[in-house]
Amino acid sequence: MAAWIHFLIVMQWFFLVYFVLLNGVYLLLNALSVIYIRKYTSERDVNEIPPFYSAFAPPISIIVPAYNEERTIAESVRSLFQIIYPDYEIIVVNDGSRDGTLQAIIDEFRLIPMPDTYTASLKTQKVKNIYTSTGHYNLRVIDKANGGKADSLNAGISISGNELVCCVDADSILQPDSLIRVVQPFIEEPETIACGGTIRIVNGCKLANGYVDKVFLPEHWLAVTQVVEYLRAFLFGRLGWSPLNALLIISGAFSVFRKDAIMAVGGYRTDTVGEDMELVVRLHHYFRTQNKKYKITFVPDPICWTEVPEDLKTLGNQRARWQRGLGESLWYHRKLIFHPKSGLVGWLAIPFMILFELLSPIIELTGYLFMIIGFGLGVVSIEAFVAFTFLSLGMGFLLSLSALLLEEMSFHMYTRFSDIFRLVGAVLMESVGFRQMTLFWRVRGLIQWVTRKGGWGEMKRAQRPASAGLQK
Amino acid sequence: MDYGPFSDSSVLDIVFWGGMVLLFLTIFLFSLIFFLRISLLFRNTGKRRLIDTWSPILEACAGQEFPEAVPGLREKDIESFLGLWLNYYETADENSREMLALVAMQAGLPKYLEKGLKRGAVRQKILFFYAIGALKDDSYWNDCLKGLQAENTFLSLSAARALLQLKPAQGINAVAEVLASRQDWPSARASMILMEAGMDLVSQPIARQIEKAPVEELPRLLPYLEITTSEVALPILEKYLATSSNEDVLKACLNAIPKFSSFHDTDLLLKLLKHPKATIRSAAVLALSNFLTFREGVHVADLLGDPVPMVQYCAAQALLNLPAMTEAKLLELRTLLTEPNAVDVLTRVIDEKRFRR
Repeated sequence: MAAWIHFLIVMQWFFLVYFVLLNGVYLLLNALSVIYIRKYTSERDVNEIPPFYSAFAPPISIIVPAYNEERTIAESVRSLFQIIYPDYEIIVVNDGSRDGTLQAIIDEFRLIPMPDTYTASLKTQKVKNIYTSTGHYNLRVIDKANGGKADSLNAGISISGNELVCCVDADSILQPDSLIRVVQPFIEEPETIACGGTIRIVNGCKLANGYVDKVFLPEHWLAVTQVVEYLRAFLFGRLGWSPLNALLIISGAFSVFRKDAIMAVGGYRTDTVGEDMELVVRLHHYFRTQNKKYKITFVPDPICWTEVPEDLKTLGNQRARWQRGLGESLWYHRKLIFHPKSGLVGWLAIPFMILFELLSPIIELTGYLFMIIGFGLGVVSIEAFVAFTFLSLGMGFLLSLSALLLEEMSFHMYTRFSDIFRLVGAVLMESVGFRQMTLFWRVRGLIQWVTRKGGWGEMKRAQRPASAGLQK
Repeated sequence: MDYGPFSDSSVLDIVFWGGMVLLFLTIFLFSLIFFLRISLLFRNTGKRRLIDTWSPILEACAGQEFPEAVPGLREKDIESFLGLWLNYYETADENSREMLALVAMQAGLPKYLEKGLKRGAVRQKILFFYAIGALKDDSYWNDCLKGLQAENTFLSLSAARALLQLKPAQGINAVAEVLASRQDWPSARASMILMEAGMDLVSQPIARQIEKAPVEELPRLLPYLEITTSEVALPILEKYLATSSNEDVLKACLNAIPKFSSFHDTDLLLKLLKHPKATIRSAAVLALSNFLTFREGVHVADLLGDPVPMVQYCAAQALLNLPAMTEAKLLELRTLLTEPNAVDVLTRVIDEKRFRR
C-alpha cells in the first residue's frame, strides 16, 4: 500500500512540475513573441518606403515538387508566375506521378525537352528528362522516378542555378509579395541560411487568378479550430524561438534556404516523413559543431496559404505523420542534446521539443487518466480534480487567446467584426476537445515512429479540385 | 493520510489563486482583443477618410497643379498622412516634389515633427526623418545627427538619409564616419542611400573610411567601393589585391573589381588563379573574365582542370563571358578536354547559356 501511495505522490509531483514547466516556457515564448512582433510591425510599414531592395534581391529558384497533381499543377505554376520578385526561376519536379501531371504542364507551358547535363550534386532517383518552357524563360521541369518529396526537392536543388532556393508545396499559394519579404533576412544579415514564413489556412477564402482574393474564416468547425492552432504555432511557437536562433522547424510548405548551406549538409534526407524539420535541425547541427556563424530565422508576414483537412481521418493521419517526423528528426540528431557547442539549440530547444512536444501526448494522456482514476479511487479530491482540470484547460485557452492577441496586434487578416467571436469560440474548442483529440493521433504517430510503420497518407481536398498529396 | 500535492491544501490554494489569475488574464486578453478590433475599425475608417481627402490633392500636386484649398492635418492622422504623402513623394519628379513639400508645409506638418521626434514611437520617428529629408528643413540637423546614433538600425538609416538630403556635403562626412562602426547596417540599404547622394560626393569619404578601417572591417566596407568613382576605388582595390593575404578581403576586392572597366592590371588577378584557397581561385577567374581578351582565355581554360568542382564551374562560366566566345568555340574546346568532370561542367554551362538565351 505504501509503495502504491508513494508512486501516486511521485506521479502527482511529476505532473505538477511538468505542467508548471510547460506553461512557463510557453508563457516565456509568448512574451518573446510579443516583444518581437511589436518591433517587427512598427518597422514593417516604413521599411517599405521607398522600395530599396528590388535591385538587391538575390535571384532565387522556386522548387515545386509534384506528385499526382494533374488537376492543380498548371494553376499552381501560373500563380507562381504572378509573384512580385525581380529575378526568379521556377523548377517543377514531377516525382514519377502516375497521373497526367507531366503532360498537363507540358501542354500548358509548351515545354520542350532540353539537352541539359544534369549534374547530380545531390543523390536522387533517376532523372528521366529535363524540360524547358518555350513561353516562359524561367520555367524548368524535371521529370524523375518516384522518390518522395525530399528526393524531388534534392533534384530541384541540384539543378537550381541561384544562391537561394525556395521550397514550396505544389498545392500551396504564395502571396505575391511573400518572396520579397522572406528574402529580406538574407539581404540584411548575410549569415542567414534559412528563413520561413507563416502558413495560413486557405479553406473558406475566396480565390481569384490563383491568388487569395478575400480572406474569410472557414465554414467547417474543424478548419476554424486549426486556424487558431496555426496562429498559436506560428505567431508564438516559431516567432518565440526565432530571436534565440533556436528555431527547429520551418514548414516545408514554404521555406527559403541558401543553396550552399543545403549542399554543405547534403540536401534533404529522404528516409523521413519530417524532412523539413530534419533539414533545419541538421543545419543547426552542422553549423554549430563546425563553429560557423549562421542564422535560421522566421519572418511572420510572408504568407503561404495551404489547405487543411476538414475530415477527422485525414487530419488524424496528418498529425500522426507530423509526430512521427518529429520523433525521427530528434532521434537523428540526438547527439546535439547537451552538446558543448550546441548552444540554445541543444540545451533548450531540443530538450523542450522532446519533453513538451514529442512526449507530451503520452504525458498529457497519462495525466488525464491519472486524474480520472485518482478521482475514482478517492485519491484526488473533487476540489483538486475540478481545480486542476480547469487550470490545465484554462492555461491552454489563455495561450491560444494570446496567439489571437498577437494576430490582432499585427496582421488581423480576418477583418470582419464577427470573426473575432468565431475565433474566440474556436479558441475554446481548440482548448477543450480538439487538443485532447489530437493527443490520440499523436500517440499513434509515436507508435508508428517506434515501429517504423505508416506513410504520407492521402490529402482529401475540401475546396480545390481533388488530387493526392505527395506520397512516397 | 497524505496523498501528495493534489490533496495538499496549500497546493490547492495556489491552484485556486492561479486559476483566479488565469481567469483575470483571460478576461483581460479578451477585452484587449476586443478593444484592438474596435480601434482597428476606427483606424481603418479614419484612414479611408484621410485617403479620400488627400489622394486627389496629392494627385494634383503630382500633376504639378497646386490645389485650391489645403486642409489642416490632425495629430492623430499624421502617420497615415505621411505614409500616403511619402508614397507620392518618392515616385514624383523634382517639380512635383516641391509642390508636395509645399502642400505638406501648408497642411501644418512641421509643427508635429518636433514633438514627434522627441516623443514618438520608432515607427513615427522613421517616418519623420523621411519627411524632414523630403522637406529639406535643416533646422532638424541636430536631431538627425542624434538619430544617426540611434540603436535601432532603421531609425539610424533614415536619419542618415535625411542628413544626406539636408546638407549633402556635411552629411556625407557624418554618415561615412558611422559607416565603419555600424555593423548592423544592411549594406544594400546603406549603398542605396549613398548612391542617392551621388558618386562624386561619396567617393572620397568612403575611401577615407576604408583606408583607416581595421582589417576585420574591410570585407564589409570594401563592397562600398562599387558606388565610388574608379579613380578612387581602383588604387585601393589594387593595393589590397597585391598585398592582402586575408581571404575575405581578397574575395571582397575580387567581387568589386568587375564593376570598373578601366581596371587593366590583369597580372594581379592572374597571380590569384594559383591561390591555395579554392574560393579565391573561383572569384579570381570570374573577375578576370571581365578583362581578358579572347586569346588570353587560355589562362581560364587551364582552371577547367582544377581539382575543385566549384573552380571548374566558375572557369567554365568565365570562358562563356569572354569577348567573342561562341558556342561553337566552346564545343570545340570541349573536344580537347580529357578530364570527364571538366567536360561535364563545360557542357552544363553551354546548356545554361542556351537556356538563358
